[in-house]
Amino acid sequence: MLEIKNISKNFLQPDGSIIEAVADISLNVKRDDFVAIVGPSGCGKTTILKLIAGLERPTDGQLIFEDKEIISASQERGIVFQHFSSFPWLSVSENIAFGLRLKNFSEQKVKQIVSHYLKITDLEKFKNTYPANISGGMQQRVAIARTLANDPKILLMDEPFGSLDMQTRSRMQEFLATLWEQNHKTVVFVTHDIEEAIFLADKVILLRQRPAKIKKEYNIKFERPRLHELKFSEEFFNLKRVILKDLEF
Amino acid sequence: MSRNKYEYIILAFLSFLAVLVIWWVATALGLIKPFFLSSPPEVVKAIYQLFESGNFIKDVGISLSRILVGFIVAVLLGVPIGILVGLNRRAEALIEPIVDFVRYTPIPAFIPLFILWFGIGELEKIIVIAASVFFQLVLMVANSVSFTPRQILESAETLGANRWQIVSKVIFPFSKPRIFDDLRVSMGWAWSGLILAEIVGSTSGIGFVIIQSQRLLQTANVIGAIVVIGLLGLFSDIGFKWIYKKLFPWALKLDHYVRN
Repeated sequence: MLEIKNISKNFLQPDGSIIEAVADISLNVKRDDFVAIVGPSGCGKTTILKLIAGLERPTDGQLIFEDKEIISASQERGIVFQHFSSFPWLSVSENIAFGLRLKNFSEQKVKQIVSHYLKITDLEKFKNTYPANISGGMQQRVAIARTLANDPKILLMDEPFGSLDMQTRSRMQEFLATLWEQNHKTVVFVTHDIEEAIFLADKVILLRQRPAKIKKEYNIKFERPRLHELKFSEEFFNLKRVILKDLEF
Repeated sequence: MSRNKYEYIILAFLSFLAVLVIWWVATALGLIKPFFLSSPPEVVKAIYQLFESGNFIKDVGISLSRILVGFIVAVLLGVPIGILVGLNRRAEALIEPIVDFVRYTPIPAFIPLFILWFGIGELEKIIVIAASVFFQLVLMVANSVSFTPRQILESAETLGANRWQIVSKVIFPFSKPRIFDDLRVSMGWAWSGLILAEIVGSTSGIGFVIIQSQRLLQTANVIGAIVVIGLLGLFSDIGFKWIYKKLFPWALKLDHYVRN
């Protein structure tokens, strides 16, 4: 579904120097895969996601999505950012409706889709509230609902729970795992949290420090549905230990 | 009412009171001759008499309608052009330097030209007011539309918004409170433009009353008219702030929301 072929991305700094953010990355993502990209903070993970979204163009290499080269952003590839990406002037339900209104869906259809996503993200009580008046966890659920309502073919997530407290974070992970199990969707999920990656993904890709380069890949075979308790199992710990070790060397 | 707001009102009231007391003492002790500065009671009396004569209320009405028309003209031209300058590099290169140039040349310098071109009728007054506001407003609006956070723009893009939709459905709604606040601030220039236009070549309006009273050595009337202008300006400011809260309830907590 998504083929990334030897992409590199350099950024020109204001002082004229060049920063290599991504170096020669190749990756295949199949339909309905949940892929997590893990690496230290500032290693260029976000850049990879923006390249897939079409918000940035690679310096070298090619990104192919469903047999077409990615040259610009598209609603086929939805993205959820780390924080504060909701439209603050719109209520929760109008945020979710944003993409649908752009497509000129009938009012009835918009209503129907919005209420569905309000329900699965448990935001019904807050549908008329502005994003600034709800908690960080709820704001992220709005962002996820808004992206899902637009029915993208692939969901890109850039540390979507990175700014949440531990408890909320854990609940959101379980929420996303359940959501994914129920509505199979291709997901590329970026995080610096190894535990989060193992818990959510079928495939974890470990990156090395800037410029981002693939260090190792792991297939995660835990059964679904995955619940919070999984994190306390021995297999989970062992895998985490292996990946942490690989991260160091 | 919150404690902070209560404190705000008391302090604001105190600063007015302080000016009033200094003024009153200075005139009551005869430190300044009434010819130069009338005492507060005289000014209050003058304001009362101005209104009682029935003509001043007409002048105030004329001034208000001039300022309204001039201001609306400036807003209708200045806001779209400001948005264009703020968002489009070519428009910025075409418009910003010349606006900057005119902005630094004082509007009073243009009045003889305006009178030459447009006469001393209503048109000239409205142009003076509009010109006083327009050039400042363009630059303020151009700045105000540049604050939309990147992740909000990128979210809209990946939700399928095209370039025009990003401007009309994202940047404009996000910037509206800032633009509205620009309007509030530029109202001050509208008042300067108005009084200027009415002092030079006019037979009506608050500015005319001021210059006429000065010719007749009625200092109390001059000060009275200035106080009335100040009060009207203050009311319009309070009005703008009140409308802001009604129109943009979501913007009140925005600073906490968009922290990065």
